[in-house]
Formats: sequence, structure tokens, C-alpha cells
Amino acid sequence: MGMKKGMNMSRKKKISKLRRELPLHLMLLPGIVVIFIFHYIPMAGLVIAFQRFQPAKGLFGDQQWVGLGNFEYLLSLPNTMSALRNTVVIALWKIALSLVIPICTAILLNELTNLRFKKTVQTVIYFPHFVSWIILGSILIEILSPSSGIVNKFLGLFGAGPYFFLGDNRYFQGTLIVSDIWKNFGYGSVVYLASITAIDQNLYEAAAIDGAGRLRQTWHVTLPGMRGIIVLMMVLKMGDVLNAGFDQIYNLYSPVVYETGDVLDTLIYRLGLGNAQYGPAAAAGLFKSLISMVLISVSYILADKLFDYKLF
Amino acid sequence: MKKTRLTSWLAIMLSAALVLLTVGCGGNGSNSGGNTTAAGGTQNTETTQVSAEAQSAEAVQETEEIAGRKLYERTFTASGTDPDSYNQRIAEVINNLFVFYSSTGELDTKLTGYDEPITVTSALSYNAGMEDSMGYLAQAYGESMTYNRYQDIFKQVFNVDFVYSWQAESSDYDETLRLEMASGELPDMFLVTNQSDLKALADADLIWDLTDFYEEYATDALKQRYEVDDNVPLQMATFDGKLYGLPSSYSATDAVSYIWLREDWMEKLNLEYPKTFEELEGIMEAFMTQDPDGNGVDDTWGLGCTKNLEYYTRGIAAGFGAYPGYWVTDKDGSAVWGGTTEETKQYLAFLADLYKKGYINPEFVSYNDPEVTEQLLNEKVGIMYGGHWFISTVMELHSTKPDYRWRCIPLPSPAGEKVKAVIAPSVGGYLCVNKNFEHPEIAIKLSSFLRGDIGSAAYWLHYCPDVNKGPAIMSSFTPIVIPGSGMNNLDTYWNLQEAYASDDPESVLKDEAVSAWGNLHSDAPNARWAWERMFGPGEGSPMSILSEMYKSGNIFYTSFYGAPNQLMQDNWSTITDQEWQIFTNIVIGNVSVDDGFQQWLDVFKSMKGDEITTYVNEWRNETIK
Repeated sequence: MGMKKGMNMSRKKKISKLRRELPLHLMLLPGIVVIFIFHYIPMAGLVIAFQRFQPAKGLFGDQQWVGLGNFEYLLSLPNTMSALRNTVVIALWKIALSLVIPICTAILLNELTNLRFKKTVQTVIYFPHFVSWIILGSILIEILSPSSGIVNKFLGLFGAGPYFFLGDNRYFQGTLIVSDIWKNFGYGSVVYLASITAIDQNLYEAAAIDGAGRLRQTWHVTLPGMRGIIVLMMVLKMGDVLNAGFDQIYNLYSPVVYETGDVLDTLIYRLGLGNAQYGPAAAAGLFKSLISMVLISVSYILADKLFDYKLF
Repeated sequence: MKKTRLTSWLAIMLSAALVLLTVGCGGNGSNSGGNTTAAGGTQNTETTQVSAEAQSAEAVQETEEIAGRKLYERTFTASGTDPDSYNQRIAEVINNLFVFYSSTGELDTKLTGYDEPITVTSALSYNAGMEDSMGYLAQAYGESMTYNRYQDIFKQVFNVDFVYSWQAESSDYDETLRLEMASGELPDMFLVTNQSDLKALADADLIWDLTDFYEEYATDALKQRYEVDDNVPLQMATFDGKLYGLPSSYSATDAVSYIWLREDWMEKLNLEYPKTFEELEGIMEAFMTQDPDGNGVDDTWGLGCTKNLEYYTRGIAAGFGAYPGYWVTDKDGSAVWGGTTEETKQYLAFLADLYKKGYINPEFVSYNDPEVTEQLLNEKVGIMYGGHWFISTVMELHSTKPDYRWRCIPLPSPAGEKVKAVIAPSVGGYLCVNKNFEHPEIAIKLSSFLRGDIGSAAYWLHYCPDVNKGPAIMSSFTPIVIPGSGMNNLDTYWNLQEAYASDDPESVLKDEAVSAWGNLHSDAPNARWAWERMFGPGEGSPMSILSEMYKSGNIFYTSFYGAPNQLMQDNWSTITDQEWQIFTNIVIGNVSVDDGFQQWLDVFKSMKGDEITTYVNEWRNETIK
């Protein structure tokens, strides 16, 4: 009897809790509807990855099924392996640096006391994020030119160079990574700056009373305070291991630097889409998504184990 | 308590509204599209009414008849700054065509109109240049991207209403069309730009077999257009003996690459025009070291080039008898891929040598077209290989620097022998008719109609000149095709030379020469200069060189222009991609000529290039012999 009463109680509690939270749940609805329409329904198109797809026969028409044929075809291309390697190398560097550099920038910006100067710096480093790679591509070709570019002229003052950053396999990857970080670190630092401002100022006072200097305060108060957001960004970024940045590379590379600069996306674009090879292109997309999913899951579990970080 | 309830109701209603909004968005998108068209339609009729009242007498007269044939009621009313001249020109075009087709007797047999108006949906592929010229035309005549002179003519002559279901920028057009294919929503009549797509549509039975309609409705003028090119374009649109699209071919000779030299620099340094590659190297050396631009610095390069090595050095390859981007016929009469021949190896060795000697800017591998144009305008380069239109990329400088001159010479070769150039049939698109559309003959009728002799009105119709910018290429706005000929440019050139020699030039001009003559006497000095360099009288023009090559039998068609088979679709882009990757590495010395070339041959073999060659030869045996 008593047990039954207890169950009733808890059910009642649950119902009243649900009633209380119903509006919040309903607020989720638009997002779920959008995700369902634009992300779940199109997944039906993944069947293309296993077909010899011909648009003329219709999306769900009488297409020829080839099993894993498209994946085998991708692996048989002469450049796939080197493109895969380039992708991972470039993307890992970009991921690592796009964590470290914006964090440092954010901490340094936070230390600035002149508000106007701080805002100016923030705006200036934020700006390149809004310029598309098509435009930046032309600009980089100019400023990195070995004969007339400003970068090589500057290096020439110290007797170095000239370096052909965009046409030499030794420098091409580095150029890609640095220019990408340069374009985006301002944007990244804004996120970290926001998380720094959320740290309780009392902690700094307490640390100062304990005799901690600026560096120690940063190490023991600021960084731990940012830990949550850093881990979150890291987990999310792991999904980008196979996205080395198509826009950027497509606008800067050339046959000479395919060896170090050709990534999966550019390879597939050149070989697949130009020839309307939808099957292989879909197969490559599916492959990339699967890898991303695995990496995000693994890094999420690790984050949970190592940093006790839970998103869900 | 009350307050929280209020807030929660508010939240519920807000989220409900959001859901409705997002769900509604999809539906609304297509609705609003429909609405705009409808609104556009009403607007049109309204203006028609207003102007009809204003100038009713004129309007009635206009719609009556021209050259003895009744016109259908038009739905378009010219507005803008010069509607009268628009109406007058349109009437002139229709009149000339009616007179022409009355004389051939085809007007009332093949080119009949429809008593009930027929609506045809179509799709428009446009580029940024078209948008520009449309701005001018909208201002002058009230035409727009969605309704222009061609639609006006088709309505008046055939009672056919063309409606664009969608428009896409030319670079996105193929993708959009394939999307429509996949979802089964093709327009009634549309252009397919890609031969494989045409074949896929034919295989899937989505488009009409036009063979019988072509026989019945094509006028002699249209048929002759294709016969000039030995029906090669029609062959490209024919599978298993059935014609699936009306090809719109344009100049096949555009594949020829010419050598352009700075004429003023040659004169300044007192140099002789080169016949052999050795002499050409001498010129490069002189341009690099003798400061032809006179700025006191050795900052000029020998040869201009970009990462598109194939295009910018095609003329050098031809000098060696190498055609690395084309299928050619070897001594035994069978087709081989030009990139695999011994001549191609020689051409690569020569380029690698030029590069090593420093005649080519090492930065060429990072250059796209804009970068090399910039070098030309900054006078850093005095020798370029390129198409006959090369001159129009540098014409801007001519207005500020009249002494800036370029000329063409016959292509140099290793020992000064005559050079043979390959040409390829180029089809800009195939006009297809959706199987669900009941009047496939309309495509043939309309294409035929505009292929007739329009006389001097052709210039205004097809190349309506924008006073500020030179001619706008109007034919890009038509929903049908007006096929040109592969030898267009040569025909035009010869016709123009006749006109220059004649006392009454205007009476001699035919077809494209009419518009070319207009360009040659255009008010825009830059355009006039560029056209004189290309098609004008005298030596040093690319057309004079092409004409000479043609007359001496040194122009030949590529050996393969069929649709690719499955293997070719799978592997061909990889093969050519590897080809130019390896060739670029050979030229800049990353790999020796011998090693690199062997590496390329191995790739060709491993990617089943030999099997593809067999297929190409089979196609040749079936189609050409």
C-alpha cells in the first residue's frame, strides 16, 4: 500500500515537473523541426554512395547498385593516400594552433587595461574572418610573391629568401596553416575572452592575497576557469580532422604543390564533381562523416574521463 | 503563480509561432516565386493596357501584319528611353525573315504559328556580363532577363510564350539542371551543355527523339548551317542513329593557339620576327635583357604563362607537332591520346629548357588568368601564346597608351617548317525537348526561323551595341539555339576582307560579318582597336594566320568527339589531372624529362588508358568511316 502511494507521489511529481518545463521543451521544437527537415531527411540521399548514380534516372529511380564499388574506386585513385595524409596533417595542425593561439590572445587581451586599445585590437584581428578566401587568395598570391611580394622583401632585409611559399612543397603546408590561423584567430579569441570575463573576480583577489603574481594567477585561476569551454571547443574541433579547408586550398594550390597541398576535398572536387561522378563524391562524404562521428565520440568520452566534462 | 502561467503561455505561443514560421518557410519559398511571376504578369498586362490606350492607333497597326503574314498579339510593350526604335527594329527583323522565308517557300509550310497560345517553360543560363548588358537594355528598351526581344519575336510570329522556370549563372547551370533531372522537374525546352548529360537523358527516355521533326520542320537555312561542318555537331547529338538535341556549335577554330608579340618592342629593339624556336629564344632573351619598356630595370619576362599550362603553351606544342590535350591520329591511322606521343616529350623538354634559362616567371604555377593579365597590363611580358581573343584582355591599356601594339606571326617551329594546328568541334549546348511536352517541333521551328537571313538588322538583334561597352552578345538571352558554324570565324574574316575591298561594303556582308563590321567601326575605341587586330585587314592578325593555315591544309579535326563511355567517365579526369601535374613538374625541373614522361606513361597505362584508346578507335570506326 505504502509503496503504491509512493509511486503515485513520484508520478505526480514527474507530471508536475513536466508541466512546469513544458514551455521549455516546446521551445526546442523549432530547432528539432529544422534539423529534421534539413539534416535527417536528406540522409536518404546517402544511398547514392552505393549506386552508380545517374541524375536522369531520378533520385529514387532505377539506379544501378554497386555495393562498396564507389569506395574501392576512391581508394584506387593514384592520389588518394597522399591526399588523406595531407588532410590529416594540415587539419591537425590547424586544430592545435587554432586552440592555442586564440587562447593566448584572449588572455593577453584580457590583461589590457586601456579599453579603447583593447577594442581596436579585437576589431583588427577579427576582421580577416569576414573576407572570403577568393579575395584573400589573390591578396596572398601578391604578398607572398617571391619577386615582388612584401613578405619576401621584408625577409630580404635580413638576407633570407626569397621563398616561394605557394609553389614549393617545403613551405606550402606551413603557408596554408599560418594563413588560416591568421584569418581566424581573432574570431576564436572572442569566444575565449567571453569565458574569461565570466570568471569570478574574487578568485583573483584571493590568489593575489596568497602572493600569486600575474603569471601564477593566469595559470591557477584563468586557465582552470576556461577549462570547460576549452574542452568543448576541442571536442567539437576533432570532428574537423578531415576538413582541411577546401575554400582556402582550392584558391591557393597548383599542380606543383599537389604533393603536399592536395586534400580529400580538392581531390574529389577535381576528379568527381567535374565529371558529375555523384556516386564517388557521396561515398567520400559518407566516409568523412563516419570518421568525424567516431572522432567526436572518442574525444567526448575522453573529455568525460579525463576532465569530467559532460555535454549531455 | 499567475505571472508564471502567463509567461509559460507566452512561451508556448512564441514557440508555436516559430514552428509555423519555419515549416511555412519551405512552402512559402515556392509560393512567393509563383506570386512574383504572377505579379510580373499582371504588371505586364497593365502596362500593355495603359500604353494601348495611349497609342491605340499605332498599336493596332503594329499587330496587324508584316510582309503579308498576320502577327499574333504581343504581350510585351517596349518602354525605357527609346521604345520606338525597339519596335521599329523588331518589325524590321520579322519583316526581313518573312521576306526571306517567303522566297524559299518555307514560311507557310514549315514555320506555321499556333492559333491557341502555347506556353513553353525553359531555363536561362546567364553570366555576369549578361547582367551588365541587360542593365543597359532595360534602360533603353525595357527588356529584362526574364523577357526580351527573342521572346517578343516568338510571341508575335508563332504565338509561343516562353517562361523561364529558373535561371542559373552559367557555372552553376549544369548542377541545377542535374538537380532538376534527379527530381524529375525538367522544363519543357532546355539547353544541355554536356554531351554525357544529353546521352543520359536520351537513355532514360526523358527527351524527344527529334529525328523526324528535324526532317519535317528544319528549314534549308538551318540544315546548311550544319552541313558546312560536315554535320559533325549533329553527330555529337546523335546516339544509335537518333537525334536528341539541336546542337549550337560555335567556332571550332577557337582551339587554335597563336603567338602574340609586342610589336612596338620588336621595333624599338630592332628585332626580326622569329621563324624557328631558336630565333624565338633570341627574342625572349632580348626582351628580358634589353629593357624594351625603357624603365631602366630588367623586369620583363620572356614568356607569359599561368598554371593552365596546356592553354598557354598549346602553340608551342603545335610547333613540335604535339597535341597533348587532344586525340589525334597516328601514322597508321588509329587514334592516340596526344599526350602520350614522342612529340609531346620534345615539347616538354623545350619548355623545361626555357624555364631553366629563366625565360618563364617561376611564379606561373601560382597564377590564374587575372595575375597574368596584370603582368601584361604592367608591361612585364611581351610574348604570349593564346586564342585570337587574347587581344581583348589587354585592350584597356590601349586607350592610355596608343603605342601599345601586339601582332601575331605564323607559329614558330623547331626548324621553321609549317605548323599544323588541331581544332575541336565545340558545341555550347544541345537544345532538348522534354518528353512530356506536346510540341517538340517548336524547338526546330524557332531555331530555323532565326537562322534565316536577317540582313542588316542582325547586328541590332544579336549584338545590340551598348554605347559605353561595345556589343552585348544578345544570343545568350535566347531560350533556343541559333547554331553557328565551326568555321564561323574564317567565313566572317573572308567576308570582311571582301567588304574592305568593295566599294559598297555593307552590301557584301553576310551573317556574323554584319556584326563584326559594326564592331570594326564601333564608337568605342578600345573595342574597335581589338577587333581590327583580330579581324581587320592587313598582316599580323590571328585570322590572317588561321586563313593561311586553313588554305595550306594545316588545320585538322581532333579524332574523337563522341560521348565518353563508363570507363572513360570514371578514369579520364584522373588521367588528365595526373598528366598536367606531371608535365608541370617536368617543366619546372622537379623531375627529369625522361623520368617524368615515363612516370606519366605508367599512369596512363595503370588508369586503363589503353582500353579507353580502344573505345575511341571503335567509336571512330562506327561514326566517321
